[in-house]
Amino acid sequence: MAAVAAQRVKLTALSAHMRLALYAVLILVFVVFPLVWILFLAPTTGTGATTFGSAVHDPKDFLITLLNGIFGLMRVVNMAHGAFFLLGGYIALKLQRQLVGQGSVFGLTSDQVTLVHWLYPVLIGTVIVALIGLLMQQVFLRWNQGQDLRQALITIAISIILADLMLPGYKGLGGGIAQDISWPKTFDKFVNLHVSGIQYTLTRLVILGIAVGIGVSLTVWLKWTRTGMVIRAGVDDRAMVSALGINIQLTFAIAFVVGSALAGLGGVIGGSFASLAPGVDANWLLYSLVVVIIGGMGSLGGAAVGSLLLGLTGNFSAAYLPSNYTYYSIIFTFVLVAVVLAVKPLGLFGRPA
Amino acid sequence: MSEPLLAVEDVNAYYDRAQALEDVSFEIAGGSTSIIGRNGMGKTTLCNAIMGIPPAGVTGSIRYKGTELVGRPSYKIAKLGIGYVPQGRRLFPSLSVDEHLRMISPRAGGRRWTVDRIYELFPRLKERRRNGGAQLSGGEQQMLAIGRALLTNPELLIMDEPSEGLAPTIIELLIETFKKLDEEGLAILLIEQNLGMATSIAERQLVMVAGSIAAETTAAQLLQDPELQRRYLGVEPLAAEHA
Repeated sequence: MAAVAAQRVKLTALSAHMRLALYAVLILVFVVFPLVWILFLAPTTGTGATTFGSAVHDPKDFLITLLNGIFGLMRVVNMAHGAFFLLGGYIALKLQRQLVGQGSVFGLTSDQVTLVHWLYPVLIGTVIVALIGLLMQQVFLRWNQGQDLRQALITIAISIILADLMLPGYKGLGGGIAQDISWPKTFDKFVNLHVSGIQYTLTRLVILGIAVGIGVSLTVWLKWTRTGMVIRAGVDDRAMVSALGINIQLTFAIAFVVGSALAGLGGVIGGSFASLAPGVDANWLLYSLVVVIIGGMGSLGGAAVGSLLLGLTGNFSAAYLPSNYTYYSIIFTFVLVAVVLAVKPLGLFGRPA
Repeated sequence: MSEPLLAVEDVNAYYDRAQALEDVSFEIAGGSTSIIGRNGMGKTTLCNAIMGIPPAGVTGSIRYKGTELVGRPSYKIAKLGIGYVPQGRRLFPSLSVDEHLRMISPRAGGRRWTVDRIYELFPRLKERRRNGGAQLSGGEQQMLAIGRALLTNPELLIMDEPSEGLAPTIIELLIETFKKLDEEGLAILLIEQNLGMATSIAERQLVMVAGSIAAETTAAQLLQDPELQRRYLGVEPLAAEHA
């Protein structure tokens, strides 16, 4: 008996040592090494000067925050979010082309597009995706609440079906495979930030503004309104909320509609900023999952911090890697995931369900 | 011949094929009633059956003021005027004390309870209004669970083992509160193992054994009869020490 106990003590001690060693290696590889690179080697890579600029002005991370509303709100693992994103983008794209015309092989230019030609597709794309989200929730998901695996499988299936259904839509668009929604003329210009003379595109400021606005309103909604309290309580204990005379199914449907609408809106803005093409949905979904893993499920603040970290890591590593190797920057994104999970397995702000 | 407040008739409940309730029938006209019984006798299943909380399959009839409850969603049952204080309190860890109370929308019709009145009833809760549900002591948690249920403005309050895990002084305080509520005309259905609490709140005592109502008695009779206590509750009889 004593021998077994001694063995166990030895094992625990060993594993503690091993854990320490593991942390040491992790810190060395992911903190010390990149720091040394940045401080001593990066200037020679030729991209150092532009690094900080590129890191702060990639609005991708803010867009991802939009995407993650639903994860934060309801712990629904909605794998169809990427498809919703692309769908919202396509609806807006088609609408804009119908309003303005097909344009050249490269699509429309912002000279041809007025503010209305952009806002109207934004609105319609968002609303339609919200309705499709509601349909999906009512028909498929409400029967499987709290069953993460089933929900994930159902939404993956829907995501694949939606993506395939969107394929024929490409033919009608003309031009190349990747298409983008055109910014209105109003936004497509540079503004002087009066910070060491930096000229900055207004479109990026618009994206930033929308993202911050949505982040703040979501927080206020969840924190201060009765609906927000009910949503948070419902995530904790659905049956108990119901036994207090509150129709939790209705509240969850509202939350799901909001989440889907944000995915649609994200698609329209993403399609204006970057471009829309088959497969883009999977990319965005991957980013948003990474953000949720980093930030932690069930936390809106976590989604914001996670997306900021992801964006900064992606951009900094792209800028500091030797110019022939910038496409390896994606690896650092997953290094970030590995480090966060090693230290906080539930994500930075995650709580157990 | 007016309808009773609550009429439970031939109710059976099943978890898959395991039967948890067997032909349970009783009526409540008003006032306070308690259902006592040991662990695993189906007391909580009965609560869930009345409140429409899954997962048990329920057959039979449960009527509240003549309205059939079986098959109705839980929130509609609560809206009819039944407040529920569940076993284990079931507070929401994500919400503060204040948010627990403010999330409830008052039932149309009876608007007797407000958040301020709850704080008046339980001053301790007001002191801790910013604290999270999980940071409270057992007694404070129970007060919050009761306050939350009262805010739905119920005419019938169902409480499942409110004394569970609480110190005797807190139990005394809760008994005082329940008596106050009883005097205000609130009907209370108390599910308890704690004989002291059950008998000091309700005169009418229903005894539950193995999923059925085995006996109906009064608080006085139950307290006087150690044999009855031993048979149905398996407790060391309260009266025995004095006998």
